[in-house]
Order: sequence, then structure tokens, then C-alpha cells
Amino acid sequence: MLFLSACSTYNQSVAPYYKNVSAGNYPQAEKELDKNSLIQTPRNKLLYLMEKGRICHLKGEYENSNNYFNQADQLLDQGLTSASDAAVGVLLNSASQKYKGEDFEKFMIHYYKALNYLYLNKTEDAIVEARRITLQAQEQGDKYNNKDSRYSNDAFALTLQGMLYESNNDVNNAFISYRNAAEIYLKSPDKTYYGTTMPVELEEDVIRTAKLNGFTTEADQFETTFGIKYEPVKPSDGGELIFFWENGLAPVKTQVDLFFSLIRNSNGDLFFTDAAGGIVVPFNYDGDRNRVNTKSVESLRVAFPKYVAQTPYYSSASISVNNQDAQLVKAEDINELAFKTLQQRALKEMSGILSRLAVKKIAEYSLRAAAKSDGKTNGLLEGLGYGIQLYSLLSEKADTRNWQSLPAYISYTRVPLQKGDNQVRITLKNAQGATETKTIKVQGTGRLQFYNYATLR
Amino acid sequence: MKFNRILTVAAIAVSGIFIASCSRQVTRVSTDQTIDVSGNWNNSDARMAADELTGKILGANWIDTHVSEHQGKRPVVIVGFVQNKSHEHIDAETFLTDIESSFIQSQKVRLVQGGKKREELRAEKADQQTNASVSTMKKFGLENGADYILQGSINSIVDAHKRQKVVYYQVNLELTNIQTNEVVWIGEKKIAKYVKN
Repeated sequence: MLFLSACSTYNQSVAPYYKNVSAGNYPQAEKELDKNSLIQTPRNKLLYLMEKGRICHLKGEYENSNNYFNQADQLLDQGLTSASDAAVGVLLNSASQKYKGEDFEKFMIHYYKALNYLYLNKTEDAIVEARRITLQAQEQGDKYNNKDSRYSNDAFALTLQGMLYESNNDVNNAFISYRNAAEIYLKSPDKTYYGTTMPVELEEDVIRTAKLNGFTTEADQFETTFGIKYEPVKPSDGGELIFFWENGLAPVKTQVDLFFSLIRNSNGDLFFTDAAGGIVVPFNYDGDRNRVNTKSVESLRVAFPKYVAQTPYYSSASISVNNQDAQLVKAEDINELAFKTLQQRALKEMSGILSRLAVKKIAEYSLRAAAKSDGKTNGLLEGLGYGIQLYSLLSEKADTRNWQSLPAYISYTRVPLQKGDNQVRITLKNAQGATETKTIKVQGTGRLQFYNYATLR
Repeated sequence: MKFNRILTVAAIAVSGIFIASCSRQVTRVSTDQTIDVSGNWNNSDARMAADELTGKILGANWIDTHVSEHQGKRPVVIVGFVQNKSHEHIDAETFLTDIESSFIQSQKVRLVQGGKKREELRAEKADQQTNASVSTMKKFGLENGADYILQGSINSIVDAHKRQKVVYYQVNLELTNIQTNEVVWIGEKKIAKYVKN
């Protein structure tokens, strides 16, 4: 079983599910998900819960969806690392370890949970999610010591947090969230945070909530910083709608094979270099470095995960509410996040994988050398040596798992509603310029409402 | 032949990892036993909150004050909302029901229905106006008005770093005189937990 699946990636193994998600056949997709044995294994539990939550959300079963997302959230809360899990990683490969989730995926859980609660009219619970975003952000900052060079926070999650507080008329907390989100953009190079520039919407949110709180100094300061003059308009009778457009599917991971050799520099330090010579990774070896024969590690095949973006079918969209046009602005670029975060940790992971493989290789080499030592060949030792070699060959596999039903991009806009019926028209454009139009009805209640529209083709 | 042997060795080496015991065990435990599994708000917290707050609210002197001021009539209480201001999805109903039942059992406080149950009652009454016989029909406008309303909040503070976490909960309940807006009783239960992963 293990030997047969050794060469297909996670995406290929769960393809029937993802194909149906992409095609919009959600009920069929759920059937495929429940049929799939790979995703139901204990090590993939987190992934399964996230996919279940996602598909239930897409089907409009918000209560069910949160059932799964809450379980996923709890699983993450309790931590998925253990000694036995680490041992599996060393002995076998990272694909056999428990799936622990990408950092941005953890934030996305809160996004969907919050929307589910809002759709169920449980504002108080949606606010709990806003608070959980704070905890998640703290954990994230903790993980990377709040380094600006790492993904230590998520601007979109904080923006969403502000919206959630605002939907509960808590303008004080809303201001703090919006401001924190804005500050992430402001301190990023080119004011671009993982592929998204500061949404104009957010600039206005910061100034509007500052004014609502009576923080005129801050409001003026931010007007200067952003270089805009913003006079909040009188809220409309029907309240407002925050419209999210979730477009395309998250990138998938594939496996790339690299070949490394071990070299010793003049100081006696050991390094791995790949065949192309572009990558140099130090070798963390606990044993006696001087006794390592660099010949034992030549052309070591290493499997690494690599993201491949999935081109979305629609390239742009615009919406109009009661014939008033509104511009959708990108707020979260999951493509960029996925690529960048993997890149940031690639060297560390490579070093771990390589060191692990090299230890196997050295063991194999010593066994084979011992087998040939006294002129005669010791069959058993040689066999064991080949055994390790074969085992390394078969067990070397990249971890190609990630939450692939997430959208590639999330854009949003905020529009006023009139009391009663509102016609929201969504115009989708594909790369060839062909347009499609969808219409949804929203009841203006005087409150802040949310709507997320997914095109996952 | 040799290749086969190697395969067997490799297969055995690998299979050892996959054989994991996962037989599920269910053990009945006492509801008073404190078992902490995840560090989140759980049944023990709800029970402790209920025990503490019930004891406090029935032992406080607002009841005697009310009785002496109202010619021996017992106070009538309605249970309002408990706001969840914590970082977890906590259902306050678990301990509120305990407090309600203590009111009934102690015979010191009378309770009237509020919230969704009250709406259902009124709907039933409305239904009776057309469908029940005149002699059994219940009339509108004869509900027992509450003297006091019980409201509250659940707050939490989380302090976490790497694999350590301290979670602090505070459950506050307040009893307010509906007529005068006067707060006649305040009680709180504090719970702190230290979680290490």
C-alpha cells in the first residue's frame, strides 16, 4: 500500500474531491471527500476537518461547518507535535507525520468560522472569533519573535477583526484592529504585505472609526499618513454590506527532486551542495565529523515540496448594488503567502531533511564497507546495507499536503444598502474578456452585513 | 531472491510505524470529578461557577430585605442574558440552569420565564385564544412581573508564550431591581488555569 502511493502527490490522491470543488459540484465533492481513505487517516485529521468545514460552508450548512472548524481549532490549540511524531519524521518522511497546518491556514479557519456565525445570526460568537484572531496573531508573533521579515501577523485577519467588532457596534475595538492592520502595511516594504497593497477601504475604516471614537488627533494623523481626505458619509438606512469575493483555488504542492553531495571545506565543516551548486546547506551532525567519509554521500536524492499556482478562470470582477458600482480590492493573496512562507522556511527544512538522509546514507555506506572489509563479502551485512538504501529510496517523499480548497485570492468592498430589497450584481470577467453576471438579493436591515461569494474555478 | 529478502526487511521496518493501537476506551466518571483534557472551558468550570454563584446568591441578604419590605412576599426573578466576552464559545446556559433550579428548590425565590421560552409561551397563549375552549383558555396580561433581573458576563484573559498558557476566567452576575434600577447583588467566580503543551 505504502509502496504504491509513494509517487503520487496529496493533490493527485484527493483529486476527485478538488475537481468537484472547482466545478462547483459541492454535494458530489463532499461524497468524494468522505470516500477518500488518505484524508481520513489519523495523521491527516486536521486537513480533513478543515476540508469538511470548508465544503459544508460552501454548501451553506453553516452550523455543520463550524462543528468541523471548531474541532480543527481545538486540535491546533492542543498542539500536534509529539516525540513519536518527530520520530516518524526522522525514520520515514515528513509526509507520514501529522499534518500541522500552514500558518495562514490557521487564520483562514477564523475567517470562515466568523462568517458562519454571522450567517447564523450569532454575533456574540462571531466576536469570540475576533478575539481568537488576536490569540492567533499573538501565537504567530511568538513563533517568529515579531520579526518583520517573517509572517508574524496577518493583515487581512486583523481587518476582518475590525469588521467583526464594527458589526457589533464596538467601534473602539474596531479602531484598534483596523489601525493594527494598517500598521502592518505601513511598515512593509513598498507598503505591500505578501502581495497585497493597503486597501483604500482599510484607510477609510481607520479614519472613520477614529472619528467615531472622537480620536480626532489620530484621525488627522492617519489622513496625513495615507494622503487622503476622508469625510465619513451619513450611514444609509439599510446599513452596509461587506462583500468578499473568493477567487480561484489555493496553490497545490508538488514534489521536486534535488540531488545533493556532501563536501568538506578547509575548516573541516561539512556542507551539502546541490548538483547545480546554487544551494549550500550546513550539515548538522552529532557524530564525529572527522570520520565522515564524504564519498558516502554522493548524489543524494532529496524530495522537497514546491508550490504550483493554479490559474483562476476569472481574472477580475466588479459589483454593483442598486446600479451603483463598487470596486473590489484584493485583501489576501493566499498564492503569495503560500510561496513566500514556504520559501522562508525552506533552508531550515532542507537542512533537517538532508541531515536525516545523510545519517541513513552514512550508515548504509559503513555497513557496505564493513561487508567488504576482510576480502570476503559478508552477505548479511551487505543485504542490510542494501536494505537501508532501498528503504531510504522508498521512504523519501516530500510532504505535499496543504488546504487546497482555500481560495487563491480574497477581495472585498463595502457598499451602502437601502432599506428592504437590494440587488447586488456581480460581473465576472475571464482572461479572454468574456463576462458573466450573477445577481443576489440582500435585505437591508440597517446593520452591517457580510456576504462571501466564491468562484473556485 | 536477495531482493525479496531486502524488501521484507524494509517492509517490516516500515510497517512497525503504522501499527498503532487505537481501541477506544470509554469510562464512566462522576460529574463532580474534575478532569482537564484540553485546558478550555469545560464542565468542571461550569459546575464550579454554578456552585459558587448559587451559594452566594441564596446566602446574600437581598432576599430577606425584599421579604421584609414586601410583607413577606418572595422576590420574583427573571434570568436575562449572560454576555460572552471571552475568547471561547461558552454556553452560559449550563450553569444558569443550575442557578435557576436552586431558586426553585430553595423555595426562597420565585422564577419567571424569559427569552425564547417566554415567546413560545405567548405564542401558545395566542393559539389558545382561537383553539381552546373558553373555560380552559389562558388570558393575556396576567403574567407575573419580575422584581429583579439577573444578568452577567463571562470574561477571560489569556497569556500565552510558546508552549505555555495561562487562562483566567471571570464569571460575573448582577441582580438588578427592575423598578428602581438598583443593583442589589453582585457575585463573581474566578478560575485560573495553567496549560503546558
